[in-house]
Amino acid sequence: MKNAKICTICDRQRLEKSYCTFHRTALENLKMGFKKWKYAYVSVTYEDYLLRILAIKETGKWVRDVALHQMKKTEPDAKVVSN
Amino acid sequence: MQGDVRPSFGLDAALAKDGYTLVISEKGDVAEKIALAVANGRPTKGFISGIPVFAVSNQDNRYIICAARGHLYGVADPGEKRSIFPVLDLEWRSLDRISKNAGDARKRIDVIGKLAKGATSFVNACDLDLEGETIAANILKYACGGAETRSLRAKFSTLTTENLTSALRDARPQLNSRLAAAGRTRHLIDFIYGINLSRALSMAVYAVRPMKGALSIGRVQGPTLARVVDREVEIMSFVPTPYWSISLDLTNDTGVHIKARYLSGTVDREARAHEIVNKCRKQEATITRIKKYASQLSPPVPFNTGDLQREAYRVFGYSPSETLHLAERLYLNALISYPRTGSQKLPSSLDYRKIVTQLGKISSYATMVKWLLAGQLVPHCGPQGDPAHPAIYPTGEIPRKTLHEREAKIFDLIVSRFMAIFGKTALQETIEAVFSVGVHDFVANGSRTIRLGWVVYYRRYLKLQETLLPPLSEGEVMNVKTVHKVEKFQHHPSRYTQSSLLAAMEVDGIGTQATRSEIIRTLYERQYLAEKAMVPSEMALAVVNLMRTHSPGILSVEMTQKMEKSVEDIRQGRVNPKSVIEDAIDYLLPSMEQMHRAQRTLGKELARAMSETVSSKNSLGVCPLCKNDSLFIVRSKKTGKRFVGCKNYSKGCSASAPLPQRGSIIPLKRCCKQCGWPIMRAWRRRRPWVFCVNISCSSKVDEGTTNLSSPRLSMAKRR
Repeated sequence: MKNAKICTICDRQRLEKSYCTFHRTALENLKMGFKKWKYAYVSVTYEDYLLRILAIKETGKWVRDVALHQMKKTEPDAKVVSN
Repeated sequence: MQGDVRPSFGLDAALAKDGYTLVISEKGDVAEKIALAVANGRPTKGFISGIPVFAVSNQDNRYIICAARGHLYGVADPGEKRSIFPVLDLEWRSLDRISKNAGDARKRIDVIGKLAKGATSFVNACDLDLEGETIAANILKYACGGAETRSLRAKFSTLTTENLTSALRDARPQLNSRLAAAGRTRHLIDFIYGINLSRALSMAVYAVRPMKGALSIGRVQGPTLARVVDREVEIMSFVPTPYWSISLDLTNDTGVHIKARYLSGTVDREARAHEIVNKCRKQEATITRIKKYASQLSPPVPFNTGDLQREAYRVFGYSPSETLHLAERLYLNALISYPRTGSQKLPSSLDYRKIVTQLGKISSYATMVKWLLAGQLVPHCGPQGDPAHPAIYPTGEIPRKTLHEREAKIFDLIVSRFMAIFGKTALQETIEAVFSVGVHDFVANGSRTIRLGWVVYYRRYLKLQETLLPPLSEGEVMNVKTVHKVEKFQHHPSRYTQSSLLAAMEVDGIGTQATRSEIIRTLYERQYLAEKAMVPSEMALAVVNLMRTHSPGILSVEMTQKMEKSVEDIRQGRVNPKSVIEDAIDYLLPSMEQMHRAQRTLGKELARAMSETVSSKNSLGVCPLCKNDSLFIVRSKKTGKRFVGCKNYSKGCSASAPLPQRGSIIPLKRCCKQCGWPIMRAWRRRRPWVFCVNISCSSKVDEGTTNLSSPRLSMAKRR
């Protein structure tokens, strides 16, 4: 069981909600990124977006962490795909 | 012509008579150069307590020349306890009272003090910059009984006989010591920031968990580290956005092939990219515009320290601190001018023709020198100036012995650049052909060199790109053979290199020409950065993140810039050093209070980050036996010896391997192809060697020995 004041992904202290500052920034970028992806592809779903983001080499490590965490959270039975 | 120094025992005779001038230089090599330059005949060299001292007679003057070895005095905390902060009462002390590694500082101070008693006048011949002035001011004040107010200043930018002789002859009283005051103030401020912030961080960790090792942060170190960490955060939080690039393969009946790219650049919607491709497929493209224009490439400007460091990194991959070290070696051999300078200008008083002619005696430059001497020598200078020193230039002296390979490369770079600044502007012709397919325009570019100009002198380090286009004319029609649509993703920003970080520090105005490369080296030494690509450690991320939360002012570039400006104001006589120090303390104290209030929070997070950094440094990756990510370097609590072990030892994994006990070792983050165990690099007596840690590795068994032996043994085996 993780300490309540620790980020749900790493061992850093969390300041608010469930993530540390770095994973929080990654989550914000992930949300912003989805808007750009929707503009680019029109028909992409959030789940597809997460899967594709994980397959791209350029994706930042903290974004990968958050994407994997979100996938686990939303679809407990989903197959986790990592690069 | 310079002669050789003969060690002599005639020094006693020279010192027996009072009334000499005591010349103090910053380095031993410079003292020797001064002695050789000024001597009527050969100088007398002797040793007092093992410290070399030169005695020289020149016409009616007698000089005794002695060298410091950099700083002999430093700022210190008079208190004994290292756990107390803030420390605001400071004092200057001789280095032997500050550090155990002060070398021969005490002896040098004693020798200079003894020599000062018989001196009637003093000449400060230290480097003409903030550090040099601080070194001299402290020696004259503390070792020479307050002689700083009556000393003369010898000003020189090269160590040629001509320059040194005239510098000593024209040494003038220093009417004010603003430069020294600025240097001393900078040292005090840096010490106040460094000691207090570092103690605050270290004590925060200690309050939570007593750990070995101290954390450090400073006035320049903080904002520099923050820059690197901010870039890392951008990279780690990067979400790539898609875009599409479209290009055409064009051909005509005569067999000409051209590739043209979409004129508007990239396309940010997939549907739009599809549409363009569909409209261009199997169509004809008409050349609607051909534009030719000549672009001029001005000659480069002479090197200042930063430019030289960046260029040496670009062409040779040398780190900034190494380049500066090599340039200093060249300066001490009188081959180049003083390398710590911000100037991109050369003085008009310099005899360029003489220097270039002299360089022509080196066979590799002979032809280029002929070309240069055929015209007028007007240098192309840059905008930046430095009141103390000109830009870096070769003195025209020929190396008297073969230079070390790395020194020779830097020397060639400086000479090539020096010749290039006199060259003519280079000219390139650029051709731009626009192809229209319906409403969509595509472009093909070509370029060719019309005149090489200055590039001929610098072609070892710069190649002009040439792309030739086939002959084309407006109105010509070509067939679209293929349309390419490539889906791409934006790249994350690059990590800083030592060179680009140096440039960023220059733009921010933090640090000085002399200190920037040292700051970067310190960040590596403190384990804040690792690898050539400047990857910040967990400790660096934690320090910057926490400081930004609790004391954001300390990491702000503006604060450091303000301090640099204040130091410059002292130098210009516009402000009093005392008020600058008081301002610095006023800025620091609130941050210290905030850090103190958050001590436990800071301590917990820093302790975790420190442990993680150490464990990441010692991690060797996947264990070849239990296949978990658990192999690492362990130090035995019982014997103190280091070895490779598995974290799953208690669960039955027996993976272990011995390691060399002396010298430094670094995991190379790759595995042996034969056995899968990690590969490491070790250094002993500055000799690196790479080895597989597995003592039973098949490669070693084949050879009948282990690579854990020292390089000397390996060499003996090869012989």
